[in-house]
Amino acid sequence: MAYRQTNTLRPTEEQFKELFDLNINAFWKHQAYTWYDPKLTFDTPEEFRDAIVKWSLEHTKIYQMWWEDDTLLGFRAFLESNLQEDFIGGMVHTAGDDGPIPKIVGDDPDWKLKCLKTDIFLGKPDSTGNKQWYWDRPEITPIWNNNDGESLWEAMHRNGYERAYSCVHGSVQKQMLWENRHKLTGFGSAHDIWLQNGYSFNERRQLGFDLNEQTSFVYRLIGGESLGWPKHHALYHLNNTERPDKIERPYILSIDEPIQKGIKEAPIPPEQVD
Amino acid sequence: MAFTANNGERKNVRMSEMIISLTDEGGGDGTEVNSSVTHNSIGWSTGFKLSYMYGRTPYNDSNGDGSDSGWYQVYNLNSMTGQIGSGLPGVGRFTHTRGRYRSATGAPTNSTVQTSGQINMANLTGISNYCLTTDPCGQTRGVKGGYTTNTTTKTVLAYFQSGMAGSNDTRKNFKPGIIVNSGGGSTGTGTAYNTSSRAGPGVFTSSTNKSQIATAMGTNIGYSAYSTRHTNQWSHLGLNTKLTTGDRVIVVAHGGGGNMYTFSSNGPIYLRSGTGGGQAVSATVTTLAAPHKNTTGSDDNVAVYSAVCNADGATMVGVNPFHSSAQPYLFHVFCIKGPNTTAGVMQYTTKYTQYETSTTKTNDDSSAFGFQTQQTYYISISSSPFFNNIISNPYLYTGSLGLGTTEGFDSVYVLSNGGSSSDPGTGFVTISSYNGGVRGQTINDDKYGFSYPDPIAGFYTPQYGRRIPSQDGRQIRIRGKRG
Repeated sequence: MAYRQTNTLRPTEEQFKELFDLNINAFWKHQAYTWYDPKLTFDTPEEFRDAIVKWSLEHTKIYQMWWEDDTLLGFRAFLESNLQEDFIGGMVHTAGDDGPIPKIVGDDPDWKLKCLKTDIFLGKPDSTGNKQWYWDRPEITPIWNNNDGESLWEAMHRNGYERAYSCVHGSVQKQMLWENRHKLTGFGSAHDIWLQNGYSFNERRQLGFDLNEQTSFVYRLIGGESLGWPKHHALYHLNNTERPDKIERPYILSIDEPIQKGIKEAPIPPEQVD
Repeated sequence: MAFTANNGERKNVRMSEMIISLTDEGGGDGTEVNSSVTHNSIGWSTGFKLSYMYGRTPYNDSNGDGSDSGWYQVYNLNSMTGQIGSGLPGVGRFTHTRGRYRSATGAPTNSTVQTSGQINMANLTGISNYCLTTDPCGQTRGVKGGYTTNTTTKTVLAYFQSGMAGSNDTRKNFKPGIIVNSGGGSTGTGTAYNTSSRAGPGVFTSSTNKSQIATAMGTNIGYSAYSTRHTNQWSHLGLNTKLTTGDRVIVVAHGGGGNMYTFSSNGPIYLRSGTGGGQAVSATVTTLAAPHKNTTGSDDNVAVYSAVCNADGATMVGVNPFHSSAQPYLFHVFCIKGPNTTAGVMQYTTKYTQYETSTTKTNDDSSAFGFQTQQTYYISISSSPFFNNIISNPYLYTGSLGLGTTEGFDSVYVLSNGGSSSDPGTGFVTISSYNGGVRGQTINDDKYGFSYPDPIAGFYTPQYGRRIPSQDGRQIRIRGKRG
């Protein structure tokens, strides 16, 4: 059994629906994906599923997909930060210019063009019959490098992105992620950085860091320094002080070969002085 | 009515200055003006109907009821139509278009098209629905400065949608203002080309040679291509125009084998004004697609960069084939008219190893950006940087010097072939300046439970065209919005 991840492929509609159906109770009954009770707005779980699948396939920039041999175990979607998520033009407040992410990345008016955000996650049991791979497999982490050009870092670099973040509002998910925060495997990546202040999902106000309610986001900066976040910042969670200092990004030929060979691009020609 | 070199200038504004892409039954080189062609009684032979001088809101059926009254085009024909099933086609402009008002050789100003009040004709000068620049502003293609050795300007042959479709759209012309009327003998030989193929307001070449006509048609367009054979030296490539604040330059760098490098000290491109070293022009530079190597067939590397002007006056883009060794390179340079542009690379990693003598068309989503009234543009570049390279030109010998009326793209650019020892590379480019509107359909619920009408295809489907040269190549697809 060989586990691996890909970041250049996309799920087919059939793969998407199969994984969604396996988790449909979480989404339909427990609102694991939506802010609102989908039962109030959709007639059937299938109708709900089809809307999500269509929306995701249209808008997702990168799918981080996990495989056991050739079996798709699951994936999570990365969206552009400037993507509007509802028809009134609203965005997750994190993506607002007064949200926590721009405060961290600094005075960069183009930060939305360089930042991804995670969206739906779907998974199913592996050949052992359980989902422990979520937490135990090192191949799941965003910093995993299978040396096949399929790392998340390379996918982000190739698409012109410098970093990614994740926001979660469901208390069950928040608690599970927090409990596994020191693991170097799976989703509990010790390389992720947590933010101190979560925003409300429906109001432009900070609600602190609360794992036990359903109305505020908890933010993780994916992959720590290796994926482009600064090493220290006042907005980082206090317990973040024990994060690993440095994670090497995957070898990327177009970046690393000139460094190894000591080659730098030629200086740009001087301007012409009249 | 004759076209002059100062179309779009802020002096002696004349009706002819505004025909740049808005010809109705006349215009062009004037062949049909005052001819026996029956003109609409309210139409002007110069291409304007007075009632159409206001900017029209693009069709955007945001409530999904199918009865909105915005305006749209069909198959890129330069005629606007009202809501479904009603309204006569007319020549007009959308609210997202801008005039390109300028002094003789100065940088243009993007003039917002009026929707009310007394029409200021100056706001309509140089106006065009085309996504690329159409006015050189005194500039030309060519290697203007920096490292110029072994850097060659490719010849760009241009072909445009002829706009001879069905009854309501008959005789409507197309963007970006160069008429290709294929009727009456353009597929023939001899002097037929002189009499039936017309170009304007760009450069019309009266010739029996189709390549000469097509080359002249591309004279004013903000697309250029350059080949290089060196490594790690900066060359200043002419943009074939002068840009204004908010315009966007997109550079596709396609190199041969070895490894294309990521820039670490400088941005991957920069903008300059003037010639030679020039003066720096402030721009926001981003990497749309980082260097990607593909070892299928002949090894090659592709990257895509972008620069949005923060100031006026850019005439050159600085590029560098920063590579592990000297390789044949092809730089495709596009000048997208602003303001408010976006750009994203939809595809660039797949290698094609078969020479293609027909064009493969791929549909894209006309409602990709949802309900909005900006123009969406779609660019496809079939590119190969290698030597001994031939592109199959669909229009060269038997074509009609223009695209069909139901293509999902409105223009095609064909590059000169790649030489055996110099001037490598060739390519085939399609452009769609989509103005087909956005329709809605049934109310859906989004991921958060909000209800909204789902945007669906507009009144035609935008397309990318792929036609791989004789050597291995890639298709790079770029999609964005503007205006």
